[in-house]
Amino acid sequence: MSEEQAQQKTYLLTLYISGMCPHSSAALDNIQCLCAGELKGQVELEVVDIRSNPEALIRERILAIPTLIKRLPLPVRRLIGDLGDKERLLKALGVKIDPAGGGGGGTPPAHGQDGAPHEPRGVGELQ
Amino acid sequence: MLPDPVSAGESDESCALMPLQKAPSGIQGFDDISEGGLPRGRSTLVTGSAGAGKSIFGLQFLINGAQRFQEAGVLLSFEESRQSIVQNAASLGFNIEELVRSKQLAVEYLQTFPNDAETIGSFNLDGLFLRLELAIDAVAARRVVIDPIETLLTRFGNSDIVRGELLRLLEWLHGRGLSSVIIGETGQQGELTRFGIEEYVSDCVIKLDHRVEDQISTRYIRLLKYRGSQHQTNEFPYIISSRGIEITPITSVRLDYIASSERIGTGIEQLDQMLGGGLYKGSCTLISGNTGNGKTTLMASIVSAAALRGERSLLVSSEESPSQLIRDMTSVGLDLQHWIDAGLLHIWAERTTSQGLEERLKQLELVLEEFQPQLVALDAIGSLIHAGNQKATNTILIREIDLVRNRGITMLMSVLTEADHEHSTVVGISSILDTWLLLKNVEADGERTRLLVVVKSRGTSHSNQMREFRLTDHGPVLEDVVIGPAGILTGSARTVYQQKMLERTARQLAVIQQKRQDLDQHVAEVEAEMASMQKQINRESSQREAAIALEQELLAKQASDLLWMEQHRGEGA
Repeated sequence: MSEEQAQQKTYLLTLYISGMCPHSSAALDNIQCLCAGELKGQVELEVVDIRSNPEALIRERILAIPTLIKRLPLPVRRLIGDLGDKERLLKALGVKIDPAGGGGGGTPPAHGQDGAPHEPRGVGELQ
Repeated sequence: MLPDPVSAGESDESCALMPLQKAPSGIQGFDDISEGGLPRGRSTLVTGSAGAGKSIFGLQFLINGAQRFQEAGVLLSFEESRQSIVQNAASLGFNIEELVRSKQLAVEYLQTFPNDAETIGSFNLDGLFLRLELAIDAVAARRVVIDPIETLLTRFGNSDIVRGELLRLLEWLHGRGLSSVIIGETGQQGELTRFGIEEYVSDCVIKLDHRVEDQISTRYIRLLKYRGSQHQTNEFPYIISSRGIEITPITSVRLDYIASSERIGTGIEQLDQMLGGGLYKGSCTLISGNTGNGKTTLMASIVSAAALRGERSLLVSSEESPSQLIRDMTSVGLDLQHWIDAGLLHIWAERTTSQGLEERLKQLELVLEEFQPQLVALDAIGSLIHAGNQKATNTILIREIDLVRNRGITMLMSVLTEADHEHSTVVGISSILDTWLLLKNVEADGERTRLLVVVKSRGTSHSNQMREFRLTDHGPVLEDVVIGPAGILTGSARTVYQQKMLERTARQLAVIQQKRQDLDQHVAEVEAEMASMQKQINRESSQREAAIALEQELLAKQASDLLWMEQHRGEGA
């Protein structure tokens, strides 16, 4: 654990949101939850509100909100959506959860359940 | 923040209450068939197959809006690169970069957007909305074109989320009062759009079609739907020329050619007289006739007359090469080469079969633009028939006529007719003709004679009589025909008849002259007699005067004698 803390900020993430729309706040909750849990201490998270920062919108060519850009570790990846499915999120970020590391692996399900309600809510709203 | 998709019904009602405002597209012919343009403040779906010109439609809507109707626009382009948009516009003669600089147009190139994103959970397209909003605000846009909308569905998945966002986008555009064109793509199985976008754009749906029939490719436009507005429902062929999309309605939906009352001479004085002064400027004249009747010569004569006035003519020859034509016309005293050298005549010789009809229209349009003629002569339109089926040919022909006439150019066409069916081949287009000259052959007494008759001439008190059309070595001339006891006499029959008539007249003249001489003599005799009688009258009247004078003198003497006697009688008493 201490080793991981030494090589700080393995993950450099930027989350683009639009004000406090439901998808944005859900995504923010989910990613912050991850930062405080599985990836504790390893993430440098930048949150950009495109409403107050339209240059970033154009520079990063953002269409969908929320968009999460994983800048590090390489390769750069984009994720869109409220990130409610923690398992897929971790996979997409390339996080290898050590099955033996019980403490780290034990917490995700709880968070995943927290995040889960966001997804149906978001979809239902648009239908 | 998000408009509720259900509110769509409400806006439909308000649409029914207000007269529908239109945003003119400025696309030639489209504003005619749509009775004014696209619905203002609402969305129009323009869908079609690849290469049908959808992007050009959108581009023209924006460019014309900016340049002609003072409405700035935003182009949201997903598929075309910046370079290809600039090139597209340049091919229509517009400098997009200039419009962007002058804030008449904003272009959002979204072509390079990464689509490698993984979707985890629900999202919206606020990024797109914000970019659109920024662009709209930057130029105070009234028009928006999204080209093509399908990209959103292919990039973010054809999910309920994206469909919901699409609906929200349309509502948002509507809410801001923007006249928008949503460009879609037809599906591979002939669906109107690949993802059924037409469900969302309910106000106006336009379909562009690119079809190949009998190896001839033609583009068609059709207004499938236009809520709250009258519109034409037929398919209309169109071309993409250097001016962009040009729609030429078959029936000339609105005939708004500017009718000139100016006449132009045909180079044949007698023909001008028959037509009441010549052909109307900008009118359409057909010369029909059998082979060898002098159709081309008549055209060449009219062309030469135009050149003589300093007007430019374009002669489209589908049957003869320029050199052949020049040689033939020289033999009848028409020096076409001279006018070519003077820059007043251009002969465009192209066998119609060597290119598709559509291509021919495009070429013709280019030649018209380059040469800017005041007169166009098509010799002969019949050869078009070899290039395609009858229906396609008629369509193309009418489009050619419209292409020329919309520019106010006087038009001549010749058509070859079968001897027994002088009127048949042209029935299809006769209604759009202003003047129809028919050249026919009369065979009698072992010779053929050409006759010219004015079948129709709109707006003119034209002669109903036939004239003999003769080709002399100083150009064609018309001669009065002789109506003999057995009908029209032409050629040598006319000469014989005329000779006979001359002889008869001569005999009659001789008799009359004799009679006049006799009368002259008689008059002279009577006059002489009258003179001598006058003399006698004079003589006798002077004798009478003398007698009266003598009588007066005697009476006076008598009176004075009586007086004297009375005086002396008194003295004597």
